[in-house]
Parts: sequence; C-alpha cells; structure tokens
Amino acid sequence: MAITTEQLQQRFSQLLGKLDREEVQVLLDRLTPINVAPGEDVVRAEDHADSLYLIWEGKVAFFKEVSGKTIAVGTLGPGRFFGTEVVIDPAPEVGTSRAVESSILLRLDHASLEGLCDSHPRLGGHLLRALSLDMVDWLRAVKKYMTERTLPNDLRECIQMVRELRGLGEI
Amino acid sequence: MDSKIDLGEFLHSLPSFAEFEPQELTVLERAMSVDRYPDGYEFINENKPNDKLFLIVEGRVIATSRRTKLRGLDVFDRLGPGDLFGYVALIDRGLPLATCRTEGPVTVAWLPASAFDLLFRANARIAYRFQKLVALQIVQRVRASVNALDTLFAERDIAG
Repeated sequence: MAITTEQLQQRFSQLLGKLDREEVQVLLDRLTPINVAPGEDVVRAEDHADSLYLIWEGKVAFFKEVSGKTIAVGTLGPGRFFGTEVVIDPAPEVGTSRAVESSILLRLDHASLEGLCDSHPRLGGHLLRALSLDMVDWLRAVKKYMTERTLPNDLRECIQMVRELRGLGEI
Repeated sequence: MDSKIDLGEFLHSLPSFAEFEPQELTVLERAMSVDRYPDGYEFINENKPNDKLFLIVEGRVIATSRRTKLRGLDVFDRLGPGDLFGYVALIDRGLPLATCRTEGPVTVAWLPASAFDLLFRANARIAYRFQKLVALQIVQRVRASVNALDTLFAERDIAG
C-alpha cells in the first residue's frame, strides 16, 4: 500500500492541514501501517498505551469497562484518529479499541513523536497544536453538554452522550 | 516587572521547564512580563476571549466554570506556582475553558498569544517545547473529564 502525502493530508486535514508537503512526508515516513482483522483488538483496557492511530481504512469500535462489564460505546472510520492523550503522555489505556472491519491504521508512537519533534521542531509544534486543539474541542464539547443539557438518566443515555461528544458512530 | 522576582531563576527551578536549554529560557524570560495582582483579580472570564498565557510565579489562582447540570463535573482547580493557565489562547482564539481569578496576592509571568506566534516563527524549538508543556497540561484536564464521565457511567449502571 502506497500512501502519498497529498492523500494523507487530505484524509487527515484536521490534524495535518497546517503542514507543508515536506513536513507531511517526514510524518508519513514515521507512520507504521498496521493491518487489523475484524474482531482483533488494537489496544486493550489497562494495556500500556503510547500511540496515536490514524484510521486509513476500515472501522474501529470502542468499549468501556463499567463496574466489571464491557460496554460498546461507538465507532470511528476513515479520516478519524484516536490515542491523542497517550501519544503525548503515555498511560494505561482506559478502554478497548477493536476493529469491526478489516482495517488499515497508521500508527505513531510516543518515541517517534518525540524524535520527530526533536528533529523537526516546527512540524512538532504544529502537530502538538493540532492534537491540543482536538483535546480542547473535547473539553469544550463536554462543558457545553453539561451546561446546556440534562443529566443522563441511565447507562444507555450515558453511552449516547459520549457518542455525541466524541462524534462516534453506532456499533 | 516585580523587582523581587528573578523570572529566569524561577523558570530554571521548574521541573516542567527542564527540557529547555538555558539560552531558550533566556529568550522566554525576555518575551514574558511579570506582574503582581491583588486578591480577587480576574485574569480570565470564560465568556470573554483571552489572548494571554499565564504562568503562576507566586500565590494561588482558582479556576472555575459555570455551574453545570451534572453533579461532579464542575471544574474547580486551585493552581499554584509553576502552573499554566490561559493556554487555550495558544491553541485557538476561542472562549477559555474556565474563569481564573486570584486567591490572595498573586505574581504571574504572562505571554501574549501574538508574542508566542512570533516566537513560533522565529524559534521553532522553543515554540515546540512550550507547545508540549501546554499539551501535557491539557492532557491532565482531558483525563479529569474522562474520569468524571466514568464515575457517571458507574453511578448510572448501579442506578439502572
């Protein structure tokens, strides 16, 4: 599979829109393509997590552990990404991500991000700003929801709330 | 600038700034202004755009957000020396996440977002390191919000 810089930037414009062509190439060189089969876990809850995953093809589902039960929350498809917090600050994963279709993910781990930022600080600054914006968007969405909406009454409404806040599709 | 504060020395003493080279800290020190504010001073109002990033040098700052309908999710942070606030100004020009005011007299070092943009263009390495500091602080906020949502899930699961 050969991905061009144009294709990468177009598919992940939210993350890479501010980068020039050479910077996208530098990033592309450090992304590791991963093929994931349907039903295969990408990251399991409690695993040490340190990577950002860009979904190039396919669909990934997200599960939460609640009081010992596994609850399906939602899905993401091509052009979306996950692992924003842990690629910046590695930590045990809070949920499980699992491919629901044959998927191709592009992985950037923490060490690669650090190396890239060190060798290409302008690129690193832009990437960190884009990842920060993604997190700030989440915080603003949570704040807006909590200020303007009513309290979820049950688990089903909680799931619906997170799906809405994260922009997740149904499983 | 408060004559009693040596900002360079203060920056050198902070573990969060340990990755900065000494000359980078000097550039940062020159770009930032230091001021002292009385008790109750409001630096940032969550309903008004903010264009400055603040670093607490001395004292305490309280960060609050509007009262929410969801118990347990009111943001309420007490920030101290070495903590940053107003960092959303470096990410975009949207509304801040919280209102920040002093709790007692406070000394802060501050940097206008426009100065950061200049810094970003002139010295990408300093800008990247600063952006990393900000990103790490935002990660902590995100994790706190996810924990609060997890608590809500558990409460609703028990209730259901």
